[in-house]
Amino acid sequence: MNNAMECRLEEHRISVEPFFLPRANEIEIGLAASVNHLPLLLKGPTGCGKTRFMQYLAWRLNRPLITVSCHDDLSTSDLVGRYLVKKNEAFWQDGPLTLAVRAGAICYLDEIVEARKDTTVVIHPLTDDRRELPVEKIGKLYAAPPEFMLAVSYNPGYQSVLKDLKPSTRQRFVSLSFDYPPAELEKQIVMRESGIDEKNAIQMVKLAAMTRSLKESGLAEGASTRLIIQTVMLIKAGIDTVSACRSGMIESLTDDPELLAAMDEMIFSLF
Amino acid sequence: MKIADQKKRFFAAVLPSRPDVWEVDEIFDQLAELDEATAEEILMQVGAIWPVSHSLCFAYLTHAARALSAELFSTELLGEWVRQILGLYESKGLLGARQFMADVDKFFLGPMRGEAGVAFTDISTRMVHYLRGISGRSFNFEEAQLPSTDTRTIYLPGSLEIFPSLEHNIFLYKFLISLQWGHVESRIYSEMSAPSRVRRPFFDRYPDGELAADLFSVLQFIHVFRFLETALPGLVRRGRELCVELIGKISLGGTARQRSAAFRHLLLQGVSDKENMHGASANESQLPGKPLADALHIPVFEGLPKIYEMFSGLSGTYTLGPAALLLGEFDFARAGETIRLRREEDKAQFVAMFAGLLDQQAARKDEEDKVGNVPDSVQQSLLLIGKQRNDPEKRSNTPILLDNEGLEVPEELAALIKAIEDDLGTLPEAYVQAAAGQAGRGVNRQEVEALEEITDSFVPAHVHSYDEWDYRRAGYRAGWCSLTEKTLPAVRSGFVAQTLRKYQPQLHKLRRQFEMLRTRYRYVRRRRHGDEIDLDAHIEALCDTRAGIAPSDRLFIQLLRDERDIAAMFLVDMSNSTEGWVGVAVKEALVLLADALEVVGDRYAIYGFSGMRRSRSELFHVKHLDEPYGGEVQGRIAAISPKEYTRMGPPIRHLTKKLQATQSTVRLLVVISDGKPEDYDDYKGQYAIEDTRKALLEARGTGVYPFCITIDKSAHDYLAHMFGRGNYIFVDEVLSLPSKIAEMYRLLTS
Repeated sequence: MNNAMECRLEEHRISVEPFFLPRANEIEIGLAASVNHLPLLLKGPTGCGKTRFMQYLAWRLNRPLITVSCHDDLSTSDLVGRYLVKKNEAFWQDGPLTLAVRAGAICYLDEIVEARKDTTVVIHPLTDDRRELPVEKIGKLYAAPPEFMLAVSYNPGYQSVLKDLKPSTRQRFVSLSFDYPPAELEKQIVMRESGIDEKNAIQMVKLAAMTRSLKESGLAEGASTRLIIQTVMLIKAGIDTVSACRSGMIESLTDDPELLAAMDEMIFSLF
Repeated sequence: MKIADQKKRFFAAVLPSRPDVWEVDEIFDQLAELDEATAEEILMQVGAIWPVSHSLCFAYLTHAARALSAELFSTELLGEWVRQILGLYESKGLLGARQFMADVDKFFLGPMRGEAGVAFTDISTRMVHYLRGISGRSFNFEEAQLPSTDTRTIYLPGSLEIFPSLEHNIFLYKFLISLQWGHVESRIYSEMSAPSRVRRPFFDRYPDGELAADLFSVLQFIHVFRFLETALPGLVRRGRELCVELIGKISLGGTARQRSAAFRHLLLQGVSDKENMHGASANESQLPGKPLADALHIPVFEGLPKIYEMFSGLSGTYTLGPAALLLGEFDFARAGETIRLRREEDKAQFVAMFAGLLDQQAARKDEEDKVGNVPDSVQQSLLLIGKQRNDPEKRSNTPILLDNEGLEVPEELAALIKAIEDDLGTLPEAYVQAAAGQAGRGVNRQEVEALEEITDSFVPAHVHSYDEWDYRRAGYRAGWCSLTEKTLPAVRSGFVAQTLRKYQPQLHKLRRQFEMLRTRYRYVRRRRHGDEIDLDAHIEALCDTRAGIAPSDRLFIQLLRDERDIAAMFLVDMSNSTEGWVGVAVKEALVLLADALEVVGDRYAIYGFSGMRRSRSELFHVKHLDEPYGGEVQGRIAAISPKEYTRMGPPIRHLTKKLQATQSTVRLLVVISDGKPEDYDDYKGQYAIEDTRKALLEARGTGVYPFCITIDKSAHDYLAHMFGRGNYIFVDEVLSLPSKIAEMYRLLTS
């Protein structure tokens, strides 16, 4: 059993240093939270580096990172674990959360607001000074080892009233706010991630920044750093710049014809 | 007989108005000359125009009869013609619409034939977004003969017909807009409005001030052109040819030859591609080559005397022709005034926000010492911030922290500080000092006296009284406003039916989208009863049994409809500024929204608000939360009309109270307004914004989610502060309002 667990955990260990450029002191705060056994809440728009930060932190701490992408059908059993039948025998299978608690890994619940509110309550005893996970089905109470860390992320930009974090959940975390990096930093990230030259990287970052200014004009969210990198990849694959920006970036942002026309004008001004 | 019948129907269509019979007779005399079907087509459009403006409707009937009897266009184009008339009425008023109607060939048929002229109104939405994107801030647009800007508004010609192709003319607009933005970015206006320069008109120091001003425009144009070359290379690559063509139009005929040739050469030098020198720039002028090239590469103010000297030796006059569009005009006095006003606004806003923050901080830090002064530690840390922020390298990455405990500055204030820093280079210490001075001053003496004068001894039972937030003393004026709830008398009209007809295609789409919200059936697993067996649950139960645990009896899958437990209240601004097209669009939006909401089944209410002074704030009931949507409610929607002022605080507080009383889990308050809150008394500017903001914060505090939809030509900076980032959208194209509101509601609640 222990061997099997180790095997499963090894899959989650990050051996190569992930590329992450800090904006401010997020790494220090992340490390301090880890030392003091505090859970982390990462908030920020899509594609701005939340998941990458967690990968980097896991690498720095040399701990496995178990990521769960939350969705509205996620049940408590999906997190904690369940009995399965094999060869006419029932055996218990740990869920990702239990696995992380037992092994002292980092459990990262991505887009936690997507999960049903009753599901997220299961993390409450893990996020205060108790740091324990009761597993009713097997009648056990796991105390989290000092290495265990819980992190959750969400995007406060969604305007839906129904997708917000309950205060009782929110107030248990050390919060790190992520945003799109400043132009200079974003340029470095794009260059590093995609291998594009500096001149083009500057222009792509500029285009993304322009789309972000349209947020108050009805664009739900501007182009993310991830989207820039994707677009650059299209360009490197031989697609001409204008088509790549259209398909890789702006068409993914909206269907509104006026906004699309305006963003088209931006592309033509830059390239 | 037929005419009499049509006239009767006309009068029925415009109810409850009673137009002048003589005027109507005159129009019907003209219509009588047309065949019956054509007259019928013309009259069909009355329903769309009459509610917007009666005078416009009469003008339309006259011009339509004339145009169709002269067979200028066919009845199939009538709908499009009317759409354009209404669009123009919205942007340019009755006069603009009349001009449009008067020359059908030039304004309507010409563009349809693919003639190249383009009106700015046709591309304005796209350009607003474009400029917002490249500049990161919002500008207004206004019409003027030559392009110019006062750093807040960009003035442009109403239409352009310079090039033979439409595409090029549209591009020219975009290029001119980018140039004007470039002028603002070059900080030329901030420099020229500095007190040292304003004192003495700059160009007067040259013997020929006009020539100096023109040469300045040319140098500044070249300077911005080069800036755009790096900032927007794609634009300049396409724009260069266009510039060369425009510059080529500078006339070289007659006695004007010498100076004109020199201007032409200078401009061509300026826009030439450095790597690929333009052939046309061969030096026809008598300007010396190298000194000229050198003068173009130094700052404008240093280059001007040198260039002026070269030009003053040349003879003749010059006319720039269409190239003047590229150069535009510079009104430094106007820009200086705008900059001064903006800085004052920024300062006032900064001082108020920062002082508020300091007060909070002071109150938190030292309960006993809260009135009188700001604790020394805070003041010291303030000065520290001032100094830190003045170091540009540190500025970009350091979060602004107040005091050592690290109270982070709110997002809006941080954005404001950044705007001030971008403008002035640093955050002036005087601003910080002013805020520190204002903080902790507590209640303003004069206002206390004013407050004491108020003796509200009698408040009738149906009148609700509400507190109002006074940001200057960081406290409430107790029972300051009285709000009366009234029911809007329903009117009988074809407004709702017409709207539903007008938006038929959109409505179809909306209904479908909203149906998807409603019919979110989902399979719920692990139910005691259900339609199907839940295999997972069964296996689990089996496992549990084998493991010796009592199995669950929840073994079925049930198909359930998701309950949307939402109560939404729509609060509509009925101030007199909504008169005309905005008011109509809001009403149309309500009709579409009500229709869509009936499909989903959410509980919703509609109220309008207006009033005058704090003693008479009025809330008009259109539909209560659980009132059925029917003829009566439709009549009230049709009756919504502009009234008086926009005091937003009391109605927001009133509806918050109403929403609190509902049992729904999600409580939404949607405010639809057309701009700043304002009343007849001192409820305006910062005060009104702060009170509205406070009312919305109170709403949020009680679990009501407020969202605001603002209809305006451009987004203003105060919106984010007043509504909170992400809690509002602004709609600049009134025509798209009905679909935007419904779409926004859908996004908010899904």
